[in-house]
Amino acid sequence: MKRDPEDTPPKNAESLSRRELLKSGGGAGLVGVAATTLAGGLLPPEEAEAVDPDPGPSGAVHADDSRKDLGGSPILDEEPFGEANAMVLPPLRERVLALKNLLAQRNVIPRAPQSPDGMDQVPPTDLFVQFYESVVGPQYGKMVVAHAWTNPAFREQLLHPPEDRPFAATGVVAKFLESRLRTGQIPQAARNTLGPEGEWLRVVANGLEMETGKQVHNLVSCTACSCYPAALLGIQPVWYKSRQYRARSIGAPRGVLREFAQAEDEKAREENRPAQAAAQLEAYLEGIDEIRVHDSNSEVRYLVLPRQPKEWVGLSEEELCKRITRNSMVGVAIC
Amino acid sequence: MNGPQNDLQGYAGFDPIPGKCQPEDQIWPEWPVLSSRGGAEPTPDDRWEADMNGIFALLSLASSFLSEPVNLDQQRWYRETMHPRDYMNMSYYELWVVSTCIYFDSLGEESPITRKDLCEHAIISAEQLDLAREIIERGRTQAVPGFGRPDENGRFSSSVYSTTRGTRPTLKVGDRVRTALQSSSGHTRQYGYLRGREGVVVAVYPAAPPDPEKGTGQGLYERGYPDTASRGGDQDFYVPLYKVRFEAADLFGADFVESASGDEAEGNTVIFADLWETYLELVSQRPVAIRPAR
Repeated sequence: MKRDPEDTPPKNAESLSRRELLKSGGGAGLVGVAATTLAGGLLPPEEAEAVDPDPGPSGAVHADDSRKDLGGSPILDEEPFGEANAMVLPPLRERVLALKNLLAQRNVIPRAPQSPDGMDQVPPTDLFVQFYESVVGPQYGKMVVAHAWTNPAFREQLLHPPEDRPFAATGVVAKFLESRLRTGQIPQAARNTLGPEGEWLRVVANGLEMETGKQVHNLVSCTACSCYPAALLGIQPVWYKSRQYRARSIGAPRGVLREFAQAEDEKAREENRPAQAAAQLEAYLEGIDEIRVHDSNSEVRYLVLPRQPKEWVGLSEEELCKRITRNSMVGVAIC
Repeated sequence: MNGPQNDLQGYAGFDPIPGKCQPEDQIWPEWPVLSSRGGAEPTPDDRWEADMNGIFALLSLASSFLSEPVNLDQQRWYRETMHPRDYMNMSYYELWVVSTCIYFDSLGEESPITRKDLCEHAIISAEQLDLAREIIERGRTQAVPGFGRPDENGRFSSSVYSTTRGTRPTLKVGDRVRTALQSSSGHTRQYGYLRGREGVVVAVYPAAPPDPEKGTGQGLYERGYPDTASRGGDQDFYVPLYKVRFEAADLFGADFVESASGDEAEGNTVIFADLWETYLELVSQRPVAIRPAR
């Protein structure tokens, strides 16, 4: 991908108020703000007509404008520091591009290497992007869960590390993934996957806990940011990072589970599939004695072993991996 | 930092959780998931979240030559040092953009990117940087649990904990503990809902510096105490960490967990948090089973 480091988008936003920017059309990313403003009736109709309603060829609404979805107030439309100091920043993608170019210009991060024909090669940031996109992901967590379901000794090692080595599961998982690397089930690029966001791993299991005789269900959250076992599950999904999830998951995990099941059913109905998730969840919750919520407030990362459905007993690990969902390994869904 | 930045738990009045059906193969999710108001296939330029991830990963490696290399705990603090309203209105990776800018601004003259650069390129506003500076300055003079106030250079000292070796944990599994009270603009991993509450230790995680010969995966916790580490200046004290179990009724009130509806908390729920020794005070030791006399 060719990108000119000098190609920082020109900025002249400092002198523009939000209203002026809206009136001038303001760039594609602000269309979302414009739409919100119009819907709220905050601009008089004649001014509203001056706003270019064309959302551009992609019709994109960008996250940085989606305050309501992000847990911000849908009705807030004030300047951040009062009208006198008003400064409207461009859309986030432009700000990030400007930051990237600036960092490359000052040699803080390496520039894209030049190939002999003078063309830019893949810039180093894109290599990281490719790593996140094509190497890490929930497939590793699924392999661990499938193996734990079919190998009681492995499961035992994950759930009960020795007291003096409380994060021994990290080493157990690393060894297991290494064996899958040798058999080619995991690409070589994933050699060092179990690094960041996976160094201090605790595995918790849903279902009957032998020590207490209780049926337990585990759910993972992070109140303050979005700490997540990325080494095994990839980049966090948007719901995990949402303020809505962070606000409710600690105190009201059953409500969160129900919300997920209802969404699943809605999707199923849209796709003309049978909607069973909510009913299955209620039957499951009937049998649960205790819900355990883990707030990931240190560098310790939690992986949930879901309860294996009876119908899945006897399936191969490969078949199990196809059925296990990411959400079940965070505990917001059941298998 | 006191505020929604640190303590979103229990905020009532939110709408449903967004993106619950996000496909597993959708890696950079925010804008298409949020496209309930109409969206389309992302273009490469829309992958700014991916770019920000890459920038941060590279910066973590590339900043080692600076006097204050990028430090994850400090970055987490800088994602909080803003007006609470701005915090609530920012997307996840926007917080990363802002914290990166605050980092460069905090380096002062040494910084390869100045505040003038950042503002001229409209990556961040000068007002936001000013406010962050104010909050950070204040935070750097405030106490942290277990260490009290820092000296005039912002450095903490302790007769118990060290930056070069681990300390033997003083609490045991089964001990009943009460969590500390604290209030500051600094960074802590003891959230508001976990202050002044009683719980029980269920696991002990001794902390020690990483052993470069053995590498990670040896089973010990190898990260510094975030409250001091986030203040910068390489202050990674190795404080023992504990997993503590709290009953929902002890956190949210017995009358409020009996029936679950909407924003209310729920009964039969236990909450586990990982808390450093400095956040905990012993209430009573694990009851010892008394053997019947012969």
